[in-house]
Order: sequence, then structure tokens, then C-alpha cells
Amino acid sequence: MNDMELVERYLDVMAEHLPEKIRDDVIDEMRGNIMDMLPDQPTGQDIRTVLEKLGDPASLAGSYRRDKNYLIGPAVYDSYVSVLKTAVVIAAVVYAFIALMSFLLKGDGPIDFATGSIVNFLADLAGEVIIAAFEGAVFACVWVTVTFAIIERTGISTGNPLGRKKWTADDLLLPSAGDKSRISRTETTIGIFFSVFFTALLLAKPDLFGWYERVDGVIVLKEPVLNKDQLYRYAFVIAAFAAVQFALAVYKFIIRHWNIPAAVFNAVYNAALAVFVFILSRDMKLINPGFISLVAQKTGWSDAKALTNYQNFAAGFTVIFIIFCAVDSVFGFVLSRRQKPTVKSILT
Amino acid sequence: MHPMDELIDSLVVELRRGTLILSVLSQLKRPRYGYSLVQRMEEKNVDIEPGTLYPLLRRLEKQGLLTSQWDTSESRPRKFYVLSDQGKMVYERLKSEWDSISKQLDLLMVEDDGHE
Repeated sequence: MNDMELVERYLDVMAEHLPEKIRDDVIDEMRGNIMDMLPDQPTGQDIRTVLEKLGDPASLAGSYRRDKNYLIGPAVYDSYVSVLKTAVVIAAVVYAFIALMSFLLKGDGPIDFATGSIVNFLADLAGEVIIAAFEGAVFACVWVTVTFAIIERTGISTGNPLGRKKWTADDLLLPSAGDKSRISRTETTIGIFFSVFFTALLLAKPDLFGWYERVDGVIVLKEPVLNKDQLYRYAFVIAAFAAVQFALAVYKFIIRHWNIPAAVFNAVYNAALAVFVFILSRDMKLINPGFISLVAQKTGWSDAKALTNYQNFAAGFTVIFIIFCAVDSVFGFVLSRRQKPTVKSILT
Repeated sequence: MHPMDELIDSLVVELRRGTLILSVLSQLKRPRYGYSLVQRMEEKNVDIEPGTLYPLLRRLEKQGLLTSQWDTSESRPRKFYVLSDQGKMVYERLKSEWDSISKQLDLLMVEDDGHE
């Protein structure tokens, strides 16, 4: 091999490991540097010595891009770990529970307790539940990591609002038990739990909401409540709401105290959710007509009466839901306005 | 190598790392290209690896302490670096920090020697 080719190969390896934006400039400069380091008529040995002095081209390239080399940087790492643990446990439990429910309602025939099939039954059940829990855990890991990687990359964490402000002695006083503006992590966790639970249940197993009957000792689905085709038209919006709710929960985990941006975020989310629930409650296509007929048949109402009753129920539910959203939004603002204790106020 | 020597080496590296930026800034009142700076450092017996210096120049430029310009008038194009206005200011601040650190250390170490 031509000795000069060695230099080009070195530069090629470097180029592979450089971000495109600076690649050409760094390579041109490095070529100049290497030429400068070599004597006029370099021998192969001279070239080797110079390249070895510069060291591994991949790690040399690495030192040109050192600033954003983490997936999750140290500024948010602690929050990442605590959110990750919470989300993994929640998702594993939710998935396992859904697997358990759908296994029990699958109705493969009556369980014959007399023979050894109970053992098989339990083994199958345990298998499905464990696999589902594992899937849930993996799902949570991926989502939490992606969320935090975005926080890291967009720099939200470095300048506020998510990042920590410059430390003052007041910070020592913040997470005290009596401090009302503190966001309860338990509440946030429960919030994530239900949002994951219902979203997963609704999108993965909508048939679990339905009229079940026991026929010859087997539980069978007579009619599902929801019309799946119509439900899946909303799937994207439902998933988006879950994602935003998750982001809001992560945000609350990081800031730990209510503040105005969090209260605004919370209120906007609540308003959008209330509108969405209102739309769903008015969409008659979302209800499986078979279910209404079945209810009518079982209660002795006419189909029209059953439908009116459903509409009244949906309207009542929506009103209560909107009141809850409104109260929760106001709560955020009230708590974010509450004064945090300061060193001064304690000393005087 | 004696295990203590290894520890000493790593401590020396750490000690030098802190002064590296100050050394580089001190030599860039007038424009220099990468290798000329390496040579300059060698002349002054400052031990710095080219593989450390080249990326450092670019990082200092990104931080706004240096400005750079390609000079294509010579046989081979070279990228020259020089202190920016901001860099000059930062250099002066670092220099006075260094002076006070070195005075403090002198004082600490002299006092300590006196007690032994």
C-alpha cells in the first residue's frame, strides 16, 4: 500500500465517526495537521509514527463531538431512573392484569377440575401473564427512554423549565412534608397507572367491556359495548392523549412543585380531554347497536328507551367528568401560586 | 512500574488538564495553525498531545473564545486560530484567577513546610 494512502484511510475512519455538519472541515484541517507533522519526504515509518501519536481515529473523532454524547445526561438522570422504575412496574402490572382478564374470559371450555388439566390451565395462565408483564416492562422502558432522550436532545433540561434553577439555600427547604405546593408522586403514579391501564385496555382488548353470560359453565361474550371499527377511528387520538398525559406526569416528576407552566399545561390538557370525552359521548356510532338491543331485551325496555337511557347516562358522565377536569385545572393554579417557604421567612 | 508512580502520573495529568486551556489561550494572541501551536508548546516544554490539542481548538472556537480562518495563500491550506474579543477578556480573567490560585497554593505549601 502506498504510504500516503494510510493517511487517507485514517481520515476516512475519522470521517465515519464525525457529525456531517463539521465533517469536511475537520477532515481538511486534520489532513493539513498531519502533513505539517510529517517531514518533506516522509517514509512509511514517519507516517506510522505521526498517526500513532494522534491515536485511534474513532476516538479522536469522538473528542470532536463530546458535548452531546449521552442518551440521558446527568442533569435528568435521577428523574429518569425514578420515572423508569415507576413506569416499568405500572406497565408490567397493567399488562399482566389485562392478560389475566382476557385469559379468564377466553372461554376455552369448562375447567375440568377432576383431571390434571387444572395444572395445564395454571401453567398456561402463568405463562401468558408473565410474558405480558415482560412486554409491558419493555414497552415502558422504551417509552420512558425515548421521552427522556427527547428532553436531553431538545435541551429542555439545560435551560429551565425542566432543569434545575441555580441552587440557592432555599432549595434545602423545598421538599418538606408540610409544603402544599409539592406534587405528590403517589398521585402522579396513580394517574399514570390509570391512564396506561385504560388506554391499553381500550385499544388492545375493547371486547372486555361487554355483556358476558355464563353458558354451560363457560363465560362467553354476548355483545361488546363498543363498536370496534368506530373506536379504532379514534385510536390515534386516544394514544396521543395517553402520550401527552405521560409527558405531563414526567414533567411533574421532574419539577416536583406546581408552577405556572405546569398549571397551564395541566389546564390545557384537561380542556382538550373534556372536549374529547364530550365528542365521544355524543357519537352514537361508537356504541354497538347489538348491545343496546341486548340491554333492551334484558330489561324489557324498548330499543328507543334503552338508547335514550344510554344517552342520559353518557351525558351525566360527561358533566361529572368535565367538573373533575375543571376542579383539577383550578387546583394546579391555586397550588402554583402558593408561596414556597424561604430561608428568610423561617429565620425571621 | 511502582503502583504509586501510576497514581502520581494520573494526578499530574489531572493537574495539567486544568491549566491546558489557559496555556492554549496564552499562545493565541496572534493567529496560529494547529501544528504551529504544537511546536510552540514543545519549544516551551509544555507537554500536550496533538490529539488533545486539535479538538480543543475547535471546541474553544465553538465556545466563542477563538475565531478561525482558512489561509489558502501558502502551498497547503491551513486553518488559523486567534483569540476573539471575548476570548481576550476570558483569558485575562483566567490569568488573574491563576495568579491568585498560585499565590494561595504557595502560601499553603510554605506554611505547611514551616511546621514540619
